[in-house]
Amino acid sequence: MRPRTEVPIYKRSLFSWVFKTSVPLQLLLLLLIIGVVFLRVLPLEIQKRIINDVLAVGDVSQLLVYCLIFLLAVVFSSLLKLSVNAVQTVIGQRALTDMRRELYQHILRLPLSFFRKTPTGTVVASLVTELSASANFVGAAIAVPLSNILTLVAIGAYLIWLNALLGIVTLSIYPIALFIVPLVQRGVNTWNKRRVDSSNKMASRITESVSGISEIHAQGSFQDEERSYNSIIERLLKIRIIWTLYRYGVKVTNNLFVGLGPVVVMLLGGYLLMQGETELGSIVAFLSAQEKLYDPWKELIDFYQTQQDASVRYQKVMQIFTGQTEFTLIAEQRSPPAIRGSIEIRDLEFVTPNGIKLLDQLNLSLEAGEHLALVGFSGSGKSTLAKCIGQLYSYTGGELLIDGRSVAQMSKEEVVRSVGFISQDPIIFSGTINDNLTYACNALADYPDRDNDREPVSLDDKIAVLQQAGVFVDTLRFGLNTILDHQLHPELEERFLKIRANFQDNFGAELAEHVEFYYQDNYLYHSTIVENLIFGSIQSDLTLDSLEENREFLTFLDSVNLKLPLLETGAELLKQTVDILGRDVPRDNVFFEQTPVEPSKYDRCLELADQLGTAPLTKLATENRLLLMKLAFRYIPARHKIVDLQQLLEKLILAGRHEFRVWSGEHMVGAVSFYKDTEYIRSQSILNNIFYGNLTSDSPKVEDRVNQCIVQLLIEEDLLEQVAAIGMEFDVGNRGDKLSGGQQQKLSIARVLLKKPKVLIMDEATSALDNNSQSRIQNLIEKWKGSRTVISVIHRLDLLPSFDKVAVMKTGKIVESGEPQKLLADQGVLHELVHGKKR
Amino acid sequence: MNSSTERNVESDKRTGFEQDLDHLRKVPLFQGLDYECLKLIAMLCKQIDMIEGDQLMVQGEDDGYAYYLVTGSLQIFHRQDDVDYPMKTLEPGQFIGGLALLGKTIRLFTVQANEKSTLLRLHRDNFQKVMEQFAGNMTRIAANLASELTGWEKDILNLTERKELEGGNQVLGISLL
Ligand SMILES: Nc1ncnc2c1ncn2[C@@H]1O[C@H](COP(=O)(O)OP(=O)(O)OP(=O)(O)O)[C@@H](O)[C@H]1O
Ligand SMILES: [Mg+2]
Repeated sequence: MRPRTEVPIYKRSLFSWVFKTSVPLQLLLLLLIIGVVFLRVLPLEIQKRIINDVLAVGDVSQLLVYCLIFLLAVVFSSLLKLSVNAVQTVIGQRALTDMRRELYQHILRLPLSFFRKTPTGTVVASLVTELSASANFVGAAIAVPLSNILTLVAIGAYLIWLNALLGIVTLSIYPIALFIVPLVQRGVNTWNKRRVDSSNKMASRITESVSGISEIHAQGSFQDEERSYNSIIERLLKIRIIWTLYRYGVKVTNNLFVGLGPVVVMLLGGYLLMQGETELGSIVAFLSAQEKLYDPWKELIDFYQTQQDASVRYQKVMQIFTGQTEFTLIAEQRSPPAIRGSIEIRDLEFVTPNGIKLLDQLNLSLEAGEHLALVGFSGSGKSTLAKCIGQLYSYTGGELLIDGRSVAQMSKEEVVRSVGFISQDPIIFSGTINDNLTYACNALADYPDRDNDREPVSLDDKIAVLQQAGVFVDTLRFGLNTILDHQLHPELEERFLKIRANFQDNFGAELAEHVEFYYQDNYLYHSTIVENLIFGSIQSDLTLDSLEENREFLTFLDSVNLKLPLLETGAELLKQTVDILGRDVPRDNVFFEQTPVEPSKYDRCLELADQLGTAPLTKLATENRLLLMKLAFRYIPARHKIVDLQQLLEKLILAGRHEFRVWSGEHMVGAVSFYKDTEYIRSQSILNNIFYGNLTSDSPKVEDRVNQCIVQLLIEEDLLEQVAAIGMEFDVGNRGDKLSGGQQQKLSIARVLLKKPKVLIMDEATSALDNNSQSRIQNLIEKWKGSRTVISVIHRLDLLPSFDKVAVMKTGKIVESGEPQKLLADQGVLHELVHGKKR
Repeated sequence: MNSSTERNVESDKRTGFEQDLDHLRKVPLFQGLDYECLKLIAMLCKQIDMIEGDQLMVQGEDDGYAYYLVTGSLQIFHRQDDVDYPMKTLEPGQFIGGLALLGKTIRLFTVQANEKSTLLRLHRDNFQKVMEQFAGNMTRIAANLASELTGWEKDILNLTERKELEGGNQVLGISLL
């Protein structure tokens, strides 16, 4: 990791990125540019020589030589120009990557208060879009001005060398332009600002009228509203015209000056030629040079405009992220002392950046290993205090000491090594259960291993904490709901078959009414249509997921009269989904649970929905028919309640199932293995394989019973840990949205427990859990008395007796603290909290 | 479905979704919501089958669910000093637990299925996702809540004996919240 002594990113200028890029690349660029410039001037001289020497004498071979050199110069100059562009692009893109990397690094370390006031969208836009304009500039920052200025200088020098007087007079135009163009540009800038202001005004005006439209209708105040709107757009009209004129003004002024060049050459040059003080070749060279001067000059002006624009945008971005990291990352001492866990708080104060005092004169002390409960009314500052202790907020006054050392002075390294923090609203990241479980430990692994005592986390450790936090059974269920990867675990299939037999013998009768068994003649309401049809798994490149793309299979469907009914079912599913969800629904899994439509395909569905009804289904484009077929294939009657399974379709599918056996015997020889109670089904989850059917009940009691049975069976076969390990690979979805609130909270507890922190801070860490889980975790924590310090914000006051101390908070102050029993007996605020207000 | 195929007699039957929607329309808390909003709520409701003894919610826990009872019956209990006191029995058509949709709510009662029952279940997180889409409807919910609360207390006041009032009742006044 880079030492953070350099200038913080938000203070750096746009130009600093130019000089940060790699030196060899810049040198290469410089060489290339000198080459380009030389090749730009060379043709001028050749041209002059052709006119003066060759044409006059009539030497053809000399003419050929010169033309060849001219040609080569043009070709190489193009090639070099291309290389310049390439190098420039590499430099620019590298700069962009550098900016993105360092800005992200900076943002992640900004104080939490920054994120309270900054919308996520702003952060995202800054990193994703806003920086790229700046980066383009960085790429061009050296190449463009350097090559153009050098060209100007070289051509200028050449002209002066040709004819000093004529050269100086011609070039004198440019300094004047250099003075006037920025003046006009300033006008562009001013009016651009006005344009932005005015557009904003217009936007807020529109927002206001649209949100108050009912009032406008009620009062009939249309003309009034229009008047105020019109006055804004008319002003905008004026501004935009002036702004555009100024912009053209820059170009025109520029062109004017450059256009004056040839006049000067012809006037003065013509005079000199007549006087015999110069030759025709020089005048021609002068006229060509005029043109050659124009390009670099124009590029310089454009570059100037880009630079103005990029600086403004860059500064805007950096302004947003102004702010200092509040901690150092790595401890400076070689080996910081191990933390024991005593905590001392004296006159602690926390004032927010905008001056609100959230904590006021707090005093508290805890021996290492003592357990403190923090209670109080909502908004009283409990979380704020917890965050101060965990170094998430940096307190603004008083002292907060762990083992006599100030938390403000501690490095992040020391804090995360010894302090575990479980927040009120747990945050789970996308990835697997395992990724989330090892999140804290993995983070720790990025810090130096001071005592060489870090061990890799074992599966047993993980299972132990999952059990402690109460998510073990859930993880096991995720494992059971996984479709086993045959390549990864070929040996497991046999063992699960054995469990299937045991299940049938021991629990089959008891759970029969909650399972839909895979019987050849029964329709499976908890399976998809395609599973009902195939009633087996396919062992070729073809999968059940893409069967609708198989032409032969579609022909088969047609032959059993299923094609049209399935298309109709697909169309109905699509129509209903679009009708219910509407166009603007977020493409979030939650909204799509009861429809076979996948969120990622919803936009396509919306398009198709507009076409439905205008043409018969069979006339739809192939890809649309496939989409409908796919929806029908994925349809599960018991889950997708937006459409009912028609009895007729059910009968056709059952008939189709029998036909498919025959058909596949001829067309897909050996590729299909049908459901058989003595064979493992590779297309089904482990659980369905054990049941040889689908679980149909969602009753909690049945769920519990199923879990009990399965755990017992897995233990008998010694498969419990393997299945749990498979379950840990379960993908929890975006921000963990495939987990319930309780599961998320338990997982966030487990990941901190795995780290075995010396000081544990829990901010209502168990609030979303059932009573049993809460008690189990509380019992576990009680065992740590004397060895680990615990500070727990609790809302279940019946847990109070298991704590050594309690502190009661009210509006940012600790109003009472001491032993729970004693405080309760005193009948103070705590008593009131526990027993309610005295009536 | 614009099918010309001969369908069975049940052809006018509503889909499961439409039935759910009809149920939710009767819920006092959802009165006056935009139709689009209610449809989305119905889409996020899951139909659950419970068996006798299944617990929907447990006193002291924050499960975050609200339920609509479609068929069957539910029993409410309140536990005090380790004794479970049976309270009201709920009939089909009733909606319970709605407060939990609005924010963290620690249950003061345990509710349990008396028999095989079918319910619609909605979780706070999902409900709030819908409300983010239809922000204006939250005001309706708040208004419904206020009028429900006042209505309940009015009922209680009507049932309260005169002499209890004379004694200076210290408990009433919830609607003054
Ligand atoms: N960084 C901050 N800037 C401004 N206000 C804040 C900040 N952090 C918290 N607050 C406000 O300070 C008050 C105390 O918040 P805090 O979260 O500490 O209360 P709490 O006791 O944990 O409450 P709860 O029981 O609801 O969790 C709240 O009103 C909160 O909105
Ligand atoms: Mg809090």
